[in-house]
Amino acid sequence: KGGGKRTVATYLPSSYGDLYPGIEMFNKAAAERSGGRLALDLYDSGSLLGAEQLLPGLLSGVADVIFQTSSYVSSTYPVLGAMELPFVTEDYGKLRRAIEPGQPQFDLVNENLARKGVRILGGMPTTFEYLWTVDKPIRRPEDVRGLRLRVAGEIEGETVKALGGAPVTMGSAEVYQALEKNTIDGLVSYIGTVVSRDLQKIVKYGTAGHFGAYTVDAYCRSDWYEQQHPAVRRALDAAGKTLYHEGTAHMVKVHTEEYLPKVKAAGVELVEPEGAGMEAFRKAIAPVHADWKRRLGARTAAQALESIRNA
Amino acid sequence: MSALNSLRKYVLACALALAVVAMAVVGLMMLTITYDVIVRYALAAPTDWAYPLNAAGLLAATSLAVPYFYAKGQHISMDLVHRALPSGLRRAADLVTAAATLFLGLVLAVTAFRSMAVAIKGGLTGAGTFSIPLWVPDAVLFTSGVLLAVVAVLFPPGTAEDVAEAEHPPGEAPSTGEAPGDAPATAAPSEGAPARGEGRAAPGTGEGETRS
Amino acid sequence: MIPDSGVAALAVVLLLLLIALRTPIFVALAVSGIAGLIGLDGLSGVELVPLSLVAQLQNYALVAAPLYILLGEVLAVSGLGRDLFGAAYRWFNRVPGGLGASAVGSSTVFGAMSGVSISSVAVIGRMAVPEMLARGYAPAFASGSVAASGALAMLIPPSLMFILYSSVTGVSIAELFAGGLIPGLLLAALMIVYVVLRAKVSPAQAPRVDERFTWRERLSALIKISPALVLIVLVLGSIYTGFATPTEAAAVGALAAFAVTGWVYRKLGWANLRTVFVSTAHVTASILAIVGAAFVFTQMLVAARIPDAVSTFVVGLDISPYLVIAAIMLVLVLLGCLVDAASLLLVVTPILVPAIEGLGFDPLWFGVLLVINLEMAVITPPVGLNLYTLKSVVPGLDLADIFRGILPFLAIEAGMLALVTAAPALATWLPGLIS
Ligand code: NA
Ligand code: NA
Repeated sequence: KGGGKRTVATYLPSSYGDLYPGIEMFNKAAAERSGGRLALDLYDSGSLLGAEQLLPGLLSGVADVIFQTSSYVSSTYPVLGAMELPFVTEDYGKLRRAIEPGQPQFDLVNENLARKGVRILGGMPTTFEYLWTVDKPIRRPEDVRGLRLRVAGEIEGETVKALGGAPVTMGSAEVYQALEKNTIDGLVSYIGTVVSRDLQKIVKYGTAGHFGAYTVDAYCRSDWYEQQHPAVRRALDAAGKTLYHEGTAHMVKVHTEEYLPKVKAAGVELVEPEGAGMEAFRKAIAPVHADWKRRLGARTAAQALESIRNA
Repeated sequence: MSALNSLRKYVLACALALAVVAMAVVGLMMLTITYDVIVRYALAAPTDWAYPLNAAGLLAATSLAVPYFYAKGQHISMDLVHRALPSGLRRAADLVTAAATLFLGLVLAVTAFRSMAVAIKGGLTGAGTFSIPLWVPDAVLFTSGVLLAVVAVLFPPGTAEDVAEAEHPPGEAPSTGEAPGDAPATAAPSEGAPARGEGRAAPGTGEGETRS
Repeated sequence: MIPDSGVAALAVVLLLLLIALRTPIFVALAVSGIAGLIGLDGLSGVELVPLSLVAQLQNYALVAAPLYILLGEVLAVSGLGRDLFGAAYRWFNRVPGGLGASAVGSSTVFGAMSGVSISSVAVIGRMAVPEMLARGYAPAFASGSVAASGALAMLIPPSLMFILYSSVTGVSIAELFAGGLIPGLLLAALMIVYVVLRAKVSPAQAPRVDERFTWRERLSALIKISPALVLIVLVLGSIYTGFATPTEAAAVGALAAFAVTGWVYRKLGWANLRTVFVSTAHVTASILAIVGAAFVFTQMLVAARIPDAVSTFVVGLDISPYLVIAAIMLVLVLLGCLVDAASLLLVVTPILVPAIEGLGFDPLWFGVLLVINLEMAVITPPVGLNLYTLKSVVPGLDLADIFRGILPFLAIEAGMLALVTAAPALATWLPGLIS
C-alpha cells in the first residue's frame, strides 16, 4: 500500500479480551508517536494471514508487522523457547521482567533473530500454562501417563511426552467438542484459551504450576525496520514498549480479575502441588530443557536461562 | 506435428504420474487416519504425525492432480456463452483460456519458488512435535505450477475433445474413468459404470450441452 | 488511481468474462484474484498467492472431503445404485408414481452415502430414468424427480458443501451435518408426496404399473443393500454420538466400504479399483482446485476490505433483518442460475457471514439455508450441473424436458427455504442436541 499505510496482521480475533487490547494499544501508540508518518492497517482473525502463514507472510512482504504467539514459531526460532520452558522460573514476575524491551533476554532474542532477518518490537508474556483435565485431577507426573492432551506447540508437546502423556494437535476451535467426546482427556494452555473457548464449562480440574508459557509478540523484518524513517523506528519501538507494559498489564488484570474467578465459579478445581509434588514435575520435565538446549546451542541457551534467572 | 505429439505424450505421462501420486495420497490418508483412530482408542496413544501429514497430503492430493485433468479438459467450466459463439470467436476464447492458464501456472511457479526460497533461507518449519519444513508444500505448488504452465501451452482447450472424439463413438462424452494411458474405457461392466458417469459429469457442464 | 473497491469490481468483471469464455472455473477465479491483488498492491501482492493456497489446501477441516468422495465412489462401483433402486421399487410399486417415488427414495439413501450431488444423479439417474421411460413416464416428470432429488446428497450428510462451509467459517462439520439432516429428509418427503400426488392427479405423467412382488422378494432386496445401509448408519451414527470426528468417520468408513465392496459384493477387481481412484482424484482435484482458487479470489476481496464494507452496509440498513435474509436468498437464487454450487458457496460465504453475524443470526443456520439454496442452484438452468449430468448419463433425454421437469421441484425447494427461515429450529435443534 502506498503512503504511510502499513499492513498489520494477526490470527487473533477481537474475542480474545485478554490479548487483543494490547494489539490495539500497540497500533494506537505507533500511529500517535510517528506524528502521522505511520498508519497501521490491521487485518485480524486470520483474515489476511492465518496462524501458520503469519511468519512466511511477513518474510515475503505481505505484511509489515505481525502479532504472533511464540508457540507457532519457536520451532523455527528456538531462542523464543526460553520463555516457554516449563519451570524455567516459578515466579511469573521474573518471567515478565526478563522480556522487557532493553533487558538482556529481549536483546538476546533480537540478536539471535537479526541473523534470520526478523525483529521483535515488543511482546506480552502470558501467565503460566496449566494442565486442564476432565475426568481426574493431575496431582503427580504419573497421573499424566496415558492421557491425551491437546497442545499448541513443540515445547508443550515435549512437556506432555516427558510426563508420559500423548500430545494431540488440533485447532483451538475443536477443543471443546474433543473434550466433550473424550477424543482428548485435557489440554495444556494458559487461562486465556480456556475462557475464550468456554472450556471452563467442561474441564473439571486445573493443575497450577509452570507447565509452560507463551509470549505474544509484534514482529517486523529487520531490513524493513532499517529502511524506516528514524521517527517511524522510534514510534515502532515505543509501540513495542506499550505492548509490553500496558498490554501485559491489561492481560494480567483480565486473567486475575475476570478469567480466574470465572473458571473457579464454573466449578473447576485448581490443584496446586506443593513441595515434593512439584519437585516430581520439575524432575520429569528435565528432558524438555535438555532437548531445547540441544536445538538452540549450549552457549546461547545458558545465556538465556541466566538472563531469566537474574531478572 | 509428430514431434509435438510425442512431446504431448511425454508431458501427459508426467502429468499422469503426478496424478497417480495424488491418488496414492488419498489412499494413504484413509489408512493413516484409520491407524490413528485405532491407536487413539485402543492404546490411548495417538500419533503426532497423522494430523500434520494429512493436512499436507490434502494439498498434494489436490494440486498434483490438477495439471493432468486440465490436459484432459476435465475441469469444471461453463460453456453457456462459448457454445453460442461463431467458431472463429470460439477459437479466440480458447486462446484466452490457454493464456490465462499459462499465466496462472507461471505465477504459481514463480511465487511458490520464491516462497520456497524464503522458507529454506529462514529455516521455517511448522509448529508441533512433528513438524514439516515449510518449503515442502511450496515445492509441491511449484511443481504443479510448472506443469500447469506446460500443459496450458501443449493442451489448449479442445485438444482433449479432438482426441476424445476420435476415440469415442459420437455422442459419448469422454469419461474420467478412462484408463490411465489413454485407452478408451473398456472397463465398464454395468456396475462399474455409475462411477464413470459421475466422474465425467463433474467437468461435463459443457460436454452434455455441446453435444445436445 | 482507482479506489480499492473499483479494483475489486474490475476483478469480478474479469472473473465473469473468463467464465463466459469457458475458462475452467478454478483458472478464472485464481487469475482474476491475482489480477486484483496486482491492482491493489502492485506485483508484491502476488506473494499472497502461495500463502493463500497453502493455508486453504492444508486446512485440516477439508481432509474429510476426499475421504467422503472416496467413500461414495467405492459404494458406487459396488452396484449399490441399482440395488437401492430395485429395493425401493419393490416396496413402492403399488403407490401411484411408484417408480418416481423409488427414484427419490433411493437418491435420499444414496445421498446419505455420498457427499456429492452429481454422483447421486449419475448413479440413480442411470438406473431409474430409463426404467421410468420404459414404463411410459413422461420424460419431464422422470428426469425432474431424479435431477432434483440427486441434489439431496448435498443437504443430507455427509455433505461436501458443509465441509467447504466449515472450512471457511469454522462452524463445526459435525453440527452442520446434523443441521442438514432434518431439512434434507423433509425435502425428500415433500418430493415423494409431490410425485405421488402428481401421479394420482394426472396418471398420463406416470402410468400405474401392475407388477407385483412377493414379500420374500421385497425382503431379499432389502437384505441385498443392508451391508451398505449398516455401513452408513455406523458412519453417521459415530459422528452424531461423538464417537468419531467427521474426518475419522470418513476414513474408517471408506476403508469399510472397500471391505464391503470387495468381500460382500465382490466388485473390487482391478478395473473398478482404478475407476474408484481415478474418479476420486478427478472430483477431488476439480472441486478442491476451485476451493484454493476461490480463496485467492476472496483474499483479494479481503485485501480490498469488501467483506467489511458489505457487513457495515447490511448491519446499518434500517430494515427488518428478515427482509435482509430474504433479499440475500433472492440474490443467491439468481446467482445460482449462473454459477456452480461450490464456487458460489466459497465466494459468498466470506462476504456474507460477517454481515449475518452482525445481524445476530446463527452462522450454522445460515449454512443450512445456503446449502438449500445450492440445492436449487444445481438444478436451475442455464448453469445447473445436475441437469447436464443427467443428460450425459441418459443421452436420449431432451434438455428442454429436463428443464421443464425441475420446475415443480424448484417450487418445493423455495418453500423449504421459507420454512427454514421462519423456523430456524429445523436446522438448529438437532445440532443443539448433539453438542
Ligand atoms: Na450426502
Ligand atoms: Na444453476
